[in-house]
Amino acid sequence: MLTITNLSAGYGKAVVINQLNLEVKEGEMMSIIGPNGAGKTTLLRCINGLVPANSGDITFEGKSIKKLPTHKIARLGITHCPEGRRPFPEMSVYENLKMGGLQLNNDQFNERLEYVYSLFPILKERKSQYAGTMSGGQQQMVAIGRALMTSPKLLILDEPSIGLAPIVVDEIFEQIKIIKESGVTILLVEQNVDVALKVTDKIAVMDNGQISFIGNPAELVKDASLREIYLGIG
Amino acid sequence: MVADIIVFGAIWTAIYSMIALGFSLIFGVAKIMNLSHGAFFMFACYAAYYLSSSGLGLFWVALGAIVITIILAIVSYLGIIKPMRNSLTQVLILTFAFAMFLEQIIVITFGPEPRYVPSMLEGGMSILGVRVTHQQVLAFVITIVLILFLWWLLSRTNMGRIIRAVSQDREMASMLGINAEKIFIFVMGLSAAFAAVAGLLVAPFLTVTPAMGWSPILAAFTIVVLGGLGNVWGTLIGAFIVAYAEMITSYAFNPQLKEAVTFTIMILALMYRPNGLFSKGVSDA
Ligand SMILES: Nc1ncnc2c1ncn2[C@@H]1O[C@H](COP(=O)(O)OP(=O)(O)O)[C@@H](O)[C@H]1O
Ligand SMILES: [Mg+2]
Repeated sequence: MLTITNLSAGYGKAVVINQLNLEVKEGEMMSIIGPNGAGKTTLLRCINGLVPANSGDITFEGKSIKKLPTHKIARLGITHCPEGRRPFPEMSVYENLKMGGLQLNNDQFNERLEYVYSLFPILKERKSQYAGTMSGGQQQMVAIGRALMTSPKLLILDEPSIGLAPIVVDEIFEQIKIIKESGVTILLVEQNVDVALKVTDKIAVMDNGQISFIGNPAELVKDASLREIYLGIG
Repeated sequence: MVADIIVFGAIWTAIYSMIALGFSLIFGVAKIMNLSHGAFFMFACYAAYYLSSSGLGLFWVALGAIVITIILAIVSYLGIIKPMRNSLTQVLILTFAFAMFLEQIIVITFGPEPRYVPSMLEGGMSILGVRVTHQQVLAFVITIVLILFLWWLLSRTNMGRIIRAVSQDREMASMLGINAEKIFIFVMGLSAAFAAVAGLLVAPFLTVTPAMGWSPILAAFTIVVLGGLGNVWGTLIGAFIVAYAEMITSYAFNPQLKEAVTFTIMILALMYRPNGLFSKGVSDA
């Protein structure tokens, strides 16, 4: 579904993504782990057209999206739930969700809204509250809910667990599992390896702008050196 | 004298709000500090002068002047502002230069002498014992209606929500499929339409000259410094402060001093409240 070939990108002279290859298959959940500064966020922003690619290609459903502007990439069905969550702070929860569902007609919108409310009932309770005044976990739910409103084919999540209490992380990952099981293709970046391993189909390790390992969770656990670095078990 | 200050202060609060809201809105949404906003106001007055002197009826004069001003604003946005949008300083200098350019075009076309635009309504009335023209009352009423319209647009419609989303986080909005560029063009047009309507309404009781845009842009600038750029309620409060300060100066001291007072308010605000009395970002509350 999403194929990245020999992709290089960076900021000015600094090369952050270096000849990277990655494929995400339809219906699959791929998780990328790796140290801080490895270039994970840059890779996701590159997919979204927010960081220009210097060379290589990115294709989605067979078509190159490398040169498309961000809003057109989004309309193809790639929705990015970015680092830092970024709800529209001075808009209500409902209005935030509305911004996700702009391409839907009334019936589709209401159906989708009920679906999001069923995943995150707190969003229904707090629908009139300004998103900026909510807790971190609730803001993450707004961000994921807003992304789901677009009915994405590919949902990109950048560190949804960051800064959240373990119990909230578990709650959010339970919903991510349900979303995955509903057939949405997911590309997740996560530093919380334990929690990612529990839901993901495939896991990729990113280091210095390249994918250094790719396999299923069992294979990662089998690899002694990776196990030590990412799971802290010798 | 107190009654004069109250009545004319209210009228100018409304008019300044209209002008400053347009100026503030395009900054809040697109981070464009448009110094040609006052020139749009002036341009609309001349468009009204030209169209009415060629014998068109009131409705067509108003519609024509508004549409021409919107087109001018969008063309200037696409032609000169958009390529430079990432630099606030370049946008300031360019829009300043564009305002001077428009002023010169008007001088060449219509000459430097003042022009008069006929009133839309004749006659007058008395409010709190103060004599006001029907045109002034009309200006007040229409600006209030349009400010309410803007509030309704921003808070109650999808277009308004999209405008606020772009203003709060443009990148995030684009990740949801919103074409921010289209929104900038829409808001540029809306902002110019507000300047144009203000121009149409006040032209009959001001003298229309090529330099008439500078005084309102000074007021608008001061108002948004007070109210916080992009903040609708802050803009209304800023307009109230500037309009009443000018009216008190005019009636209690000397009308010639009113711009000096506006400058003084701007300097004090920049020194003590550089981010305005409130926060930034276009908001409906
Ligand atoms: N906007 C930017 N401008 C310049 N350098 C950046 C920018 N964003 C990230 N970087 C640099 O790119 C590298 C990768 O960052 P990032 O993609 O955020 O990594 P990760 O998400 O894996 O932690 C880091 O060295 C970071 O300093
Ligand atoms: Mg990151």
